[in-house]
Amino acid sequence: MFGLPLAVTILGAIRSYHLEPVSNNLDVELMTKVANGDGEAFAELVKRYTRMLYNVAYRYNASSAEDLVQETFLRAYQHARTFSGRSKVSSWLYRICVNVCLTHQTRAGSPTMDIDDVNEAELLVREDERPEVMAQRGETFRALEDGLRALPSQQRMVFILRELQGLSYGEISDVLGMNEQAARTNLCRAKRRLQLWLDPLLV
Amino acid sequence: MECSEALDLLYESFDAQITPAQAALLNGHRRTCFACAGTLAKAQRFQDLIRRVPQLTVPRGLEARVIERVLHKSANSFSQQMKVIRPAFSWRTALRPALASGGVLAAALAVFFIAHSMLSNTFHRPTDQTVVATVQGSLQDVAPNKQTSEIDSTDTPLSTGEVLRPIGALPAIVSITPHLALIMSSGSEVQVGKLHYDQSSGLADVIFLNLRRGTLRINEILHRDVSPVQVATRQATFVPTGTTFSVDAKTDATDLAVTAGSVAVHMPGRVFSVIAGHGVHITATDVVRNVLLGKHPKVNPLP
Repeated sequence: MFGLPLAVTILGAIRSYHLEPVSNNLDVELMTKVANGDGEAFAELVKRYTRMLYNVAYRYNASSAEDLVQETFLRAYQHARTFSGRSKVSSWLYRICVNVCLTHQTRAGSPTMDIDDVNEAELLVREDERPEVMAQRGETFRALEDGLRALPSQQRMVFILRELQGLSYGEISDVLGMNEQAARTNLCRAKRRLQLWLDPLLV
Repeated sequence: MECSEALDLLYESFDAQITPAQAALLNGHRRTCFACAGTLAKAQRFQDLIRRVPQLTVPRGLEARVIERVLHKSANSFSQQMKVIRPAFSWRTALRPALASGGVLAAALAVFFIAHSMLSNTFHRPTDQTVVATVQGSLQDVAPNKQTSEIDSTDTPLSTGEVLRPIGALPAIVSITPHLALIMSSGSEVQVGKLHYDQSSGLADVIFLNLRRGTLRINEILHRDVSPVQVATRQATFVPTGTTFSVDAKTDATDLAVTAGSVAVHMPGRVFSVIAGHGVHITATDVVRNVLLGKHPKVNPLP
C-alpha cells in the first residue's frame, strides 16, 4: 500500500528535476545579472527554463503556448529587479507564467471559471471528439489534454503543476496564491472530471 | 465510508497524503463495496495513464526567438524611457545660468534650504517606513501627529500611519512603485497601516492599507515574487498576487472585484481566493460570489 505512494513521490521528484533546474546561488547570481540588463545571463535563463514553462503553457493552451512562453520571459526580463531571492527562480517564473496564462484567457474572451461554477454538461463534446473515438486513433494523450482544457482554470492549473510538473502542494500554494487544502480539493475535483471524461479509455 | 469518500482517499493515496488508519479504511471499503470497485480500478488506471504522459520537447528555435524578441523589445522600451527622462535634465540645464548669475551666496542659500527641508522630512519620517510616491490629482494627507497637508504634486513621501483622502470629485492616483498604482475614488479614505522600504533592493516590500471607506482600486501590473500590498477593511483582508482589483468598503459590507490575476481573501477562520472575472460581496454573516459583467477601465501606474 505504501510502496506506491513512495514510488509516486520519487517519480514526481524525478519529473520535477528534469523540468526545473535546481535553484541555487548560481540562479540568484543569474537573476542579478539579468536585472542589470545582461543579455547573456538572460539567454542562459531562457535555456534553463524554457522547457519547464513550455510544458505548462502548452498544457494550458496549446495553440498559444509559444506566445505565452515569450510573454512570460518578457515580463521576467522587464521585472527581474523585483526578484528578491525569497522564492526559487522556478517558482517565480511559474507564477509569472500562470498569470500570463490567466490574463491571456481573460483577454481572449473566454472567462476563467471559479470552483463550483462548471456543470457536467460542459464536458459534453462532439461525437468525433469523444475519448473512445480518439483512442481508436491512438490519441490517448490528446484525449487527456483535451479533457484538461475543459476544466475550470484553477483545477486545470493545479493538475498541471502537481501531476505533470511534479510541484509540491507548498509550491503550488505559493504559485497560485491558494492554501494547500484548496490545492488538494482542486486536484481531486480535476481528477474526478478527467476520469469521467476518459472513462471509455480506462478499461 | 461513502463511495465518493473512498475515491477521494484513493486519489490522495496516490499523493502519499493518507494516514495508515485511512489506508486501512480504504482497503476495507475496496474489499467490501462492489458498487465502486470498477470506479476505483479505473482511478488506478487513470493514475497510471497520467504517469505515462510524456514531457514535451521545446519547438525548434523557440529559445532563440524568445531571446531575440525580448531583448529587441526591451531595447526599444529603454530608448522610449530615455525620451521621457530628458525633460528632467533640461530643468537642470535651465537652472545652471540662474545659479551662475545669482552668485555664490544664492547657491549657498538654496543648498541650505534644500538640505534643511530634507533633514526635517527624514526626522519625521523613518527612512525604512517611507516611500516616495507619485500623485496624480489632489490628496489631503493627515500625518500621525494630525498635521494636515495637501498633496497635488508629483513626488511626495508617504509613511506609515498617514491617512489619505482625495480632494474634490476626481479620483487620485498614487503610484507607489513603478508597478503598483492605487486609484482612490472621491470620498474614499485610506490609512497606510504599515509600510516597509527595503533599502537594499530599493523597493517597498510591505504596504498594508486600511480602507476606511469608499472605493480603492489596485492596479499591479507586475507579477512580483511576493506582492507587497494588502488591503484591509472591516470584513476582510485582500492579498493580491500580481493583479488588478478594486475594493469597495461600506460600513457593513465590502465588495471585491478582480479583473486580472487573483486575490486571496483572508477572513476570520477562512481563506479563499477570487480569480479574474469574479467578485465577492462580504458582510458580517455572508460571503456571496458573483461573476463580473462589466469591465473596469484600465489605469496604468505612472512611469
